[in-house]
Amino acid sequence: MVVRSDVSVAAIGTMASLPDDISPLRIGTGLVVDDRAYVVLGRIRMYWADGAWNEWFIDDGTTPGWLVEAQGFFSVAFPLPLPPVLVDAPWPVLGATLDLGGTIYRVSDLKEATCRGSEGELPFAAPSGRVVRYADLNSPAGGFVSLEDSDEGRRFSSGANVHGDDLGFSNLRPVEGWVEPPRRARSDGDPEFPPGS
Amino acid sequence: MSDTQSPPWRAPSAARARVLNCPSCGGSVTVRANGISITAVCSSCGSTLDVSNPDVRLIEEVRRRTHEPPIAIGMRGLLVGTLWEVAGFQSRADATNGWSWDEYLLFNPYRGFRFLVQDDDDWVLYCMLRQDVPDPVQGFEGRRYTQRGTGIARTTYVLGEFYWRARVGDEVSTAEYIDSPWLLSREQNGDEIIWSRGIQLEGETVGTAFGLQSDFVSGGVSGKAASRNERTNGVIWVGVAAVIMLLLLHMIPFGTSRSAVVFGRTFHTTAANEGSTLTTEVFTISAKGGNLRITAQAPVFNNWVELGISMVGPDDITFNATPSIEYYYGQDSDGSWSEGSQSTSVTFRSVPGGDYRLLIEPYAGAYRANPENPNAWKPNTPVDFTVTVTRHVPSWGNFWIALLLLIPYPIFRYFFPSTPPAPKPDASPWPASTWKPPP
Repeated sequence: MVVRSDVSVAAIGTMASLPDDISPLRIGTGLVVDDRAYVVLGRIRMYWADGAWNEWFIDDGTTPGWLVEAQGFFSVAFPLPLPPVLVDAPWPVLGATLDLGGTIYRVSDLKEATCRGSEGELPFAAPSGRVVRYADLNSPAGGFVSLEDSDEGRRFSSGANVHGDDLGFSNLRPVEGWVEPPRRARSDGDPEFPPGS
Repeated sequence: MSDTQSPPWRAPSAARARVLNCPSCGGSVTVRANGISITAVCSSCGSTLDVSNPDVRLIEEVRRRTHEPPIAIGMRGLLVGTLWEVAGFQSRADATNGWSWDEYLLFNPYRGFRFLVQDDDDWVLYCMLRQDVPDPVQGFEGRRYTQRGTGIARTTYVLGEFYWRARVGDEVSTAEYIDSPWLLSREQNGDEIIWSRGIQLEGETVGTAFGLQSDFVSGGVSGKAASRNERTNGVIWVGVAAVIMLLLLHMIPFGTSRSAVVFGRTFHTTAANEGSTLTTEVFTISAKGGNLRITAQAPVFNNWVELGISMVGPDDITFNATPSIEYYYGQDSDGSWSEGSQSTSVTFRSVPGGDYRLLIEPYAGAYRANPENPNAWKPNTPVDFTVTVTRHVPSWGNFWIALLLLIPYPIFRYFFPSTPPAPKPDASPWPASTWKPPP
């Protein structure tokens, strides 16, 4: 691990320095979720055996949530109370479904990940080495549900997989060698968007 | 927001690619998707590096000769409204028939990744989906897709960087669906199901975007394709002859009675029947061996019925099935959608003849109150379902399985003298009842 001289001694052991990445997001980046103006306050960087992703803590002053950034894709999720049936339910297997108010979510991803660093303001301590087990579920319309399990117990959140174009980012971090692209026309044929959209 | 902590560290003000030295040969390696890419292959010596950590580790010191793909790593091109940079390249081949194709991993820090796939002169641009695709054949996003093929894709060559631990020898099971110019692709390994949406592109479009020479993108004339076609001609003719024979054999019933319905009944139930056992009259299955299909139908709409069925026969031989009938329909910003079906069936490959009866335990969404609308529920809401038992169902599945087994073999043997590895079994879904519905 690289020990940075500007890290306070108190932080070592609880917070790791954050390995840099190419993400255009940063603390202070603004975004719009459901017509509400959010600001990025902090981030957790999670690693699993074969990859890594960012969990950005976002707040609009009333309803804090998370913007998950993985491989250039975004999901917005808000914490919910754990449904009682999931308190002791066995961990799902890939392909299992969950009926949430009539919408069927399917388990598409099971991972165990380790926190390898964090920055900024977070709603809980995210020490480096904190291990979290994830079950991610998707609905046919792109709804997103996540069940997490860690030493602090299970956490449940719900939201949606979203297009970066639709988040109205502001105050992005510059990326060397790249220009922030203009918002696309859906008719350009990018398969990120469904046919005929 | 208790336990808030002050920032001990902040990311640099500008994001940038990472440049490192290959621990094997010292050559310069650029990691374009810095912080996302997990592996990078050194373009100088071909060694595979783990770039997921600040300390670069050598995964595989190969010192193999690298060959530059037709669109070089690092090239940029404007496609579907976005400027993309080629970050990675892999060749993959079907593990059963040896058919190979190339995939470019395209990257833009604001738009993520796309896969540009070249299969001879066909080009498809794919984007990973983050939504469930219940069954593309039943319709998805207003289009009806046709299944084009399934297989095991094995990675045979990698260059550049990847956001997963890409290795030669990686295998995933694949299924592809087409409703031209759109495609859906499903890839599954142990812990992940990945659906991707693709759109066919003209070779000329790709050529213009990345400044390629026209004879390359028009396809068909590349040395690889031409030589493959020549060499496989003989094997293909053997395959065609075998398919014709198989088709003839399949169509001749050999005296077996086909699709005989041996039992059928509609059940009328209410919440009082939930979990109780309904026992049917005895029905007889002919002594001739063969398959048997249990079909369950229910007129469900935005609801579900699940039946625990035991078919008990002579000497208490028991066949168990848990058909789940669910059908959902709705409207969202993408238009109308539906998933599931009002009919489902389970086929047993070999059921001996004799006298049987069914024990059926019904469960249904309509037996219970909807937590969102508890006042609308009536305990006496009828739930009807029909169970049909059919003997000697013509199984085109068997035909396709035989076809799949028959066709690739000579081709495969021609390319690979060794035996193919067994495909990884798909994880069987965990019984969903615990998960639906939350109270």
